This record gives sequence, C-alpha cells and structure tokens, in this order.
Amino acid sequence: MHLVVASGKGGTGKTLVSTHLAWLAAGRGLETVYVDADVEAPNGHLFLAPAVEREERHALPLPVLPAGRCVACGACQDFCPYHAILVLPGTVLVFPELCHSCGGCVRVCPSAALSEAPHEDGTLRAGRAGPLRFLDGRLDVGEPRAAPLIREVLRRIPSGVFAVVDAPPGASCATAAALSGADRALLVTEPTPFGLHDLRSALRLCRSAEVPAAVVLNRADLGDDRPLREFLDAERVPLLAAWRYDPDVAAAVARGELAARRVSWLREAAERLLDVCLAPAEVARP
Amino acid sequence: MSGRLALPVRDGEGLQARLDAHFGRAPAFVVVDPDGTEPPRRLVNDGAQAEHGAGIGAAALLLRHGVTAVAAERFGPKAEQALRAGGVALFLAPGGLTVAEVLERFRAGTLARHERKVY
Repeated sequence: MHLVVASGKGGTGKTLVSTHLAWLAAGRGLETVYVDADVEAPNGHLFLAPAVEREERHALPLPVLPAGRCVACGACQDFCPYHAILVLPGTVLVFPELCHSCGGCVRVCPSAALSEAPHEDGTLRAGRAGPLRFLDGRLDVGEPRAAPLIREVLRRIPSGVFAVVDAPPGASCATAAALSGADRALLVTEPTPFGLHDLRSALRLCRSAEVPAAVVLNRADLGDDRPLREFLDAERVPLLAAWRYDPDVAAAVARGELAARRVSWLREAAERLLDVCLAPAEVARP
Repeated sequence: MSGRLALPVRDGEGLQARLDAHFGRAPAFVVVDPDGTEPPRRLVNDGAQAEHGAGIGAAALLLRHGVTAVAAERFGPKAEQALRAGGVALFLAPGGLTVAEVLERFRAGTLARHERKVY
C-alpha cells in the first residue's frame, strides 16, 4: 500500500504525520518504508535519524551538439514544446533549465547531429532507522525540476511493503509526481484560510490523479475550523483526525525528535490514525 | 544601416503602437525597416502566455523574420542570451513610447545600447 501524505500549504505537518505513521507501522512489525519525496527540502531524516546504507547520484540526459553534423534545419526547435533548444546560424543553444529530458530533439534530428549527455541533479539515499526502511532524494541547489528525481525515489520502493510517502507541498508537478502510483492520500491541513485554500488545490490534484483523499487537521484548535468542516462535508471528504496544538509537540519537532516518543496523547492519536489508514475500505471515497 | 528593428508592443497599430515594457511577454511585435522601404509588420507573440521559455520563443520568432535589432525596456536573461547568440543588436527603450518615437531615436542614433551584463 502506498500512502502519500500531502498538504497543499507548506508547514501544516506532513512530516509530523508521515514520520509517525511510518515509525509506528514498523514498530508493529509491518514491513514499512518511509519515503521522503520532498526533494527540495527533505527533512524526514532529521526525525528518523536513519543509518544510510546506499547513496548515489542521479542524472538526467540533456541534448548536446557535437561539432559537424548540424545543418540548422530547425527540426529539434520545432519539436520542443518548452523552447529549450534554439537553432541559430552556426550553432544550437540548449537551455538546460527548460529541458524536460524527453529525448525528442535527438530522435527527430534527421542528421543525427544531437546526442545526450548526463546532467546530475540530485542524490538518492537508502537506509534504515531500526526496523523502518528509509528512502529520500535531495535535489541539488539551483535545479529547476523536482519531478524526475521524485519519480526515481519512488521507483526504489520495494514491492509489497507499506510505503508512507512524504510529498512536497503545493499542487505542482512535484506533488503530482509524488502522488503517482498512490493508493490513497492523506492531506494535512490547518484551520486557516491559507490551509483551506491550498487544500482545495491539493484535493483537485488528487481527484485528477484518481487517488482517494482524506484529511488530517493539525493544530486544530489554532483558528476557526468551521469553513474547513463545511467544505469537507460538502465535498464528502473524510476527516480522519484532528490533532490539537501542543507546545510539547512543537518543542520536540524543534529538537528533531519524534514527538510521540514523549507526548503520549500524540502517540495514541497517531496509532488510531494508522489503524484507519491500514483499513483502506474505511478511507476510500473516490 | 540595413536590417529590421523589432519592438514589443502592447496595443495600437503600426507606427502608433505603444511599447510593452517586457520583451518576452509582449502580446505582439512590430517589425520596422529603419531605412524606410518596408511597411511596418505586426507579428503576434504566440508564446506570450507560455509558462516557461516565452523569451526564447519570441527570439526564435524574430530571428525567423530576419530581425537584426530589438529595442525594449527589459529583456529576460534567456531571451537576451538567445538574441545575442543570433547576432541581434539590443537597445533600451522605455515602455509606453510609440513605435514612431522609438524609430526616430533609432535613426538619430540616440537609442541606448543594452550592454551585456557581466556577472
């Protein structure tokens, strides 16, 4: 089962929820992997402190033009919908930050003038935190696209395990990449106008990806949750948990600790949430 | 000098069109012949609303139409790179001027050159 923890708005508690669900599931003896797909700001490792067993660089192909064979026909430029390649008299300009590494320009070139060279964009890590397996990706600073690295992180999820995927915030290509292959999504939100606004976007994304979604309300007592509850009722989206604000939880997070190690109500609440997540029929509502 | 001068414009027609402040996101370009033999031509910038690469698309459009000089208030970094690589001379002109006003300054040699930035 692939459970993706997403949010829309950043800072609502995706990592709090996902690290706890993964840690508790592994503690129950379930073969579990925590997957940090928030490759632009991965922070799950701070709470789980995994022993890293493998680390490797990730690269994407970019077109390059060795001298000689280009006849400046423009076929590559016409093909590229991202304007990543521009044919000029005597040269071809490639804009790496626009290229999506689809390889189309290379294939449509009638002179076989273009080839591809690897461009490194990030690092993949695999390890263990006690019984819990751990995967994450870290995008290099300045790289514009997170989705290819996220897809590569997800490809490393072993088959047959319970995977808890910590998604990037927002509702962009990166979040969509993290949702691909998900059996269900947990959307973590907060009782603020921003939380609700971005939850709507995240919910639309889940629906377009045909991933059933349910909601966890974090810091439930810090704001007015009525607009959120009305929205969820109207949209028939289940609210699986409402966790209150607790300075002890905030302090544990600030120290980089799993808060449930010290805060018993949170541990009980996270165990109940895990029960619901592992009983898929209760959650599913396409 | 011979060649074609292109200006990003936001509204108006021909010589009365007004300059858009930004090169790549302008809805259209007016291409004029400073030597006075060709009538002004209007090119629609299809990529103006593109999520990425609007400036490169605009540069490609102008290069296809034989443009040798562009005047605008601002050029994006990729548009600038593409235009310079294509051998286009870049000039600065404040948004809001008419094509006729820019053309006059261009002919008088008073239009400021857009210098290559040194990082």
